[in-house]
Amino acid sequence: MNSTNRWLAVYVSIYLVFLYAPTLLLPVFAFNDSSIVAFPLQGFTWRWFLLLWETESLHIALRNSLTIAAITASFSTILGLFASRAISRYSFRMKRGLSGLVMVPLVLPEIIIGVSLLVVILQFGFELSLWSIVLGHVLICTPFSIVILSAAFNNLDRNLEEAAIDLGATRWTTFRLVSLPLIIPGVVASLLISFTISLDEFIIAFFLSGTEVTLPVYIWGLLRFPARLPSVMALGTILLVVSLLLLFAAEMFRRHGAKRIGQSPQGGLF
Amino acid sequence: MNKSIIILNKVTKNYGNVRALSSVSAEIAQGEFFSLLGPSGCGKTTLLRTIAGFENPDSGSVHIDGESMDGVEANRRPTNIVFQSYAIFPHMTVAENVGFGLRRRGLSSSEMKSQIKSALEMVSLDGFGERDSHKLSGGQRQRVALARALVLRPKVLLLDEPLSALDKKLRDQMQLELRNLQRAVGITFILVTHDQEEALIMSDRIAIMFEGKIAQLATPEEIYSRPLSRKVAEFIGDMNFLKAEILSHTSEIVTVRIEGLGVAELPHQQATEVQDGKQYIAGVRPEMMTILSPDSVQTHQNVQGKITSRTYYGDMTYYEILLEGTTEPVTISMRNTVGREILNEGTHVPIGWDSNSIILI
Repeated sequence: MNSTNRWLAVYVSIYLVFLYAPTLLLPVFAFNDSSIVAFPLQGFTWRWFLLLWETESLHIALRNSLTIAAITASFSTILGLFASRAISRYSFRMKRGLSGLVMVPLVLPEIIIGVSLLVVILQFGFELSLWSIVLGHVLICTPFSIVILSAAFNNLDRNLEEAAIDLGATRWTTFRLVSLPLIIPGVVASLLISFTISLDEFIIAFFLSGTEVTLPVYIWGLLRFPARLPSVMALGTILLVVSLLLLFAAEMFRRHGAKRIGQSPQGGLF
Repeated sequence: MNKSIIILNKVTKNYGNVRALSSVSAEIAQGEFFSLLGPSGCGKTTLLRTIAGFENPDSGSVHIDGESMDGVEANRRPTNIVFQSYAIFPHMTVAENVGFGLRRRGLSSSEMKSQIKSALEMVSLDGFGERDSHKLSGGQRQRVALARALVLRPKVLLLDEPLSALDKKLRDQMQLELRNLQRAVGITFILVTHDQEEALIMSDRIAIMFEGKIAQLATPEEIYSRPLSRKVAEFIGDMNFLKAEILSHTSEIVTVRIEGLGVAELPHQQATEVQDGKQYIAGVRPEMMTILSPDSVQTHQNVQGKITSRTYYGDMTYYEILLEGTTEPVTISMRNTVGREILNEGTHVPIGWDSNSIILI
């Protein structure tokens, strides 16, 4: 091993440590039997998880978050399907400008989206509710859905859709029987990404939540009480495990889908 | 000729500033194997897609079986298409692919099964119904595409370069199979191809297209032996072009002086138009001239030439021969039959030709 390679190895090690060490601290302190999050460790305990189990306000926040994430994922994927199909299949006036405009929320600071939506909602006299958070989340998730689904549509041989129409199918039947089954990995990816984005989004949820809070907003509230910090760690650990399982399931699904239509399951997340 | 199944009337299509089809008119007969032949970008695929209903002409009309196709969507037309990529649905089995178009017809499941089965038998794929379509070879995919289209008994089957993805041997075999299949089912086939040999072998008639226009529409024999323009002659097979001048003409005979060959009297129908003193080009196919053996009878229709190069193809030898009084060599092909020797470069040889084998363009 020459010296360049050695330095590269050091660089990669440091990089990985910075990336993952803080995350790994979550489970460590989640099982630490002390209300102070600090070394040295004090012994093993389940009590922070039990505390979570008994905290009803947490359950409400979690339920809110999951509901919002599910609705957001569905809406942004449906809107993404419309937009990406239009962009990849049709040519229309001002196509470039319009498709660029749809993507803007991707780079717009969330605080601006949060504040402006707040102003608009209050101006029109609507109440802040979970729906106002859904509105904001759909706005920021749809661009991701469009990017993912556009890639799926672009990989779909146009002749397949034309063949279906040629064989007498209507446009809707063609979409249902040919296009959708072949872009389903993209649809699943879009659902998953927007679900995840919505689930851990804080700023918009913070501005637009009325009396009901989402999980990130709830966690932020907990941080003001140092005694509750270990239970935040426990919550974080659960979220970490669930995210990994979701990611794993999605990737399995993608590989299975690719094999089913005879493609080699390359690319993807792992 | 049978009645026309397709009538194209001044079909014109533009893409922005590019004219893809320029006032194309043609009539295609019921039961005919018709080819659209031309280089890429000549508009042949656009014309096929216009017949299928995937492109709308800017002006002009398409009639299929006496009905105007104006405003009729692709899924309502009595045509089916076999795409270049075959477009086999990868997530369905072979039987599901073939049955795709049948599901709208309200057939009983046993009736559907028997139709799928006979369609697969027709393309020699019996027993393949339950296979996953993505596991098929190129040739099998093409057969599935054919079965999927033919099972619907379309009035016209459209084929977009169906053989271009196959290797040479399979392609040769499929050319004859397609031809036989077409005769067996009696459905009008319209084939798009850039391969002149394929068009000659398979077609009843060929429309040769350049730059969005039909340059010539005729039988394969006619296109090969009487091309209307130098472009057509160059695209179909090989042809030698020699400068020619018409000396005089009657209603039957055209007297012409051809560079390298001398004065010839041609039947009038071998010239496109006739005008004394005007410059023309005389075209001769390589196989329409011959290298005479030195002891053969000398006629006035032979000239001297010198072999400048030769290419050996096994069954044929192609000679480049410089005729006396010319600067560009002509190509002459000779079949390597029993007892005919392969001649060397530099050999002086007498060349024989026939006035019937020359066309004036």
